[in-house]
Amino acid sequence: MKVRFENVSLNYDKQKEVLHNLNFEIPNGKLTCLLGPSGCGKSTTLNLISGLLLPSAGKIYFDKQDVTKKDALDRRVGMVFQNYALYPHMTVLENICFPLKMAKVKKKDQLKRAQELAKLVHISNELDKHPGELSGGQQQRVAIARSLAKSPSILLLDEPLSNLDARLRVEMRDEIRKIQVATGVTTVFVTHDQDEAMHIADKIMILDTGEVQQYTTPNKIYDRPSNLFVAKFIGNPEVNVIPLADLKSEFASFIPNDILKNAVSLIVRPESIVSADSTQKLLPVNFQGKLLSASRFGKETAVRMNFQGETILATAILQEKLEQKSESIHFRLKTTGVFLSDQAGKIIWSADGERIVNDD
Amino acid sequence: MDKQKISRLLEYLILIFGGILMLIPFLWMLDTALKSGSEAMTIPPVIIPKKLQWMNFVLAWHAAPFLRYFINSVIVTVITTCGQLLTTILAAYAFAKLEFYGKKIVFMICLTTMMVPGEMLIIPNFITLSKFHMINTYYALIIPWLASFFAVFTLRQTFMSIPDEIYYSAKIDGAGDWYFLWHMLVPLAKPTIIALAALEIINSWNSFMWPLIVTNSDKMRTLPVGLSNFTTDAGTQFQLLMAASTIIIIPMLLVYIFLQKYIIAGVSRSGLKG
Repeated sequence: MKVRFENVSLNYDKQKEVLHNLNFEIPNGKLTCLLGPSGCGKSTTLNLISGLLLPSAGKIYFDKQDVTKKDALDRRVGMVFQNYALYPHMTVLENICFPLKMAKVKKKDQLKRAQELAKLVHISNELDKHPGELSGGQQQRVAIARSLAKSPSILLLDEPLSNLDARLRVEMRDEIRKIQVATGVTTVFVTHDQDEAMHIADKIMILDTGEVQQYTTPNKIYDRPSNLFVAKFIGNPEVNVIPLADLKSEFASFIPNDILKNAVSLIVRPESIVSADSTQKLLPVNFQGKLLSASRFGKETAVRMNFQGETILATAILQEKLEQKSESIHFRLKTTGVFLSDQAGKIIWSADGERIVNDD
Repeated sequence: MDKQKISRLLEYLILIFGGILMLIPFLWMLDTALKSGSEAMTIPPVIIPKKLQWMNFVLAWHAAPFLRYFINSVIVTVITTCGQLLTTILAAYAFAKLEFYGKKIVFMICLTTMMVPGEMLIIPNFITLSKFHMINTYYALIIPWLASFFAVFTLRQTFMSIPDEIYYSAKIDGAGDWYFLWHMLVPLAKPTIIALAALEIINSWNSFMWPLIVTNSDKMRTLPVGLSNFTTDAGTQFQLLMAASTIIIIPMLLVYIFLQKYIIAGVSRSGLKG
């Protein structure tokens, strides 16, 4: 089921606008992530898709059908909540069967379907237990099975992994991906964890202050953020943002003047800062920074230096360079992960040479 | 003995003392019920009667139409409790989970009624009911107690502790509000609801002032009011009064024993696990 938003806005109590004029399309059979900091409107967007909330303006389509006025039941969505929202007084089996029972499916068919789903999510041995007796991961599996029971038009997951511990989160993340691929159900996954989104999604929509910041594939978002917010939000550790004013002359040789004229900040991913003698593809500029600290955490290195009055972080400067204990570090920039942004934060130039186009 | 043991001992001593204090009136009632008429009146009081007067129970039961009182008490208690639970569940649901115009104001008004002492309501309630010609009927005994905001408030808190996501889930799964209330919220709030029922049963069964005021014939009296039969111009027959009291509290003791675990659970936690 394809989902399309057409000029959708939402305001609570006719005052505060929570979502501003959203236009996007969620592709059929794919897993799409809604990603953003808390309060950005991602859960609200999900609730608009589900029909639990109705938009103040605009239209929502499922394929060709206008569902703007339809409630969650009519839209046939399946939903999984952060706290799982299992019915505590029912057994696992009863929980999975519940949507079928409400749809007046025959008892025999209910059981057959429930067993199928239990097998899919690996909880066949827990069917007689109550949710309270299950671990968080198992409860999540039950919630997914229940949401799939009715063969939903679209599966909506609202921060489904946030209540799990780190290891289980990775395990369930892959599990959800597997289930999604196995069933081919169109899935929308809300999260604030960029790492989660990068690993699981076919497409990521980044939201902030009720507006879509960028909507494309995970790698494209990483390689070509459309603005400073996206560049900062995606990637760990965070990008370095350096005022460009005093550096313009260094870049003048290879950046068109009309771009350079509007550029305000240089944005550099920490792994794009390398030693001056690196043999990788590099930009034709040479910089020098003052070493502040250098540390190694297993496979990672973190070099902090003072450059143009800013403290910047580099994670790809080789260990042996640091052992020379020199005060100043010569470094260069790779041709990936280096961007220029204008006054408004829009990224207007990317070092990998291609034109910046915000498409999908 | 180490410090922990001493504090343990002290804890138990205080609890035992409290327990005895609570039991004394009951024991005194039972004791008096088994005394003869003169023993019951003696000062200083006789603690152990010379001969246990078991006949007091039979005499007391026959001294007044207690069967009638008993039936009245049962009718009033059952209908009041069931009716109050129904209004409580519906109102608590509205306040906890529904959105409607003026919800906050209505809630505040209801909340202020909790601050009005019950005695203040006796006269207005009496006047209202007499205007409806309902004095000395079951209506008078039942209608004023069909809604209790204390119960609504308590149940609302329990309902609110049940996550909204369960409500949304149920909606998506195809359950309407009515189904959600009776098949999800009520079973989940069972400990609270049973505790409220138990408190109302006890309240209603023991109620004295109101039945005394709105009834004026034996036909409509309830058990606690019936006890006043033992007080006449000639004085009070304490041994019979206490014998009758003992009979009257037995049903309440049974209610409490059977529902004790719910009463404690309902008062001490929200009732939702998992």
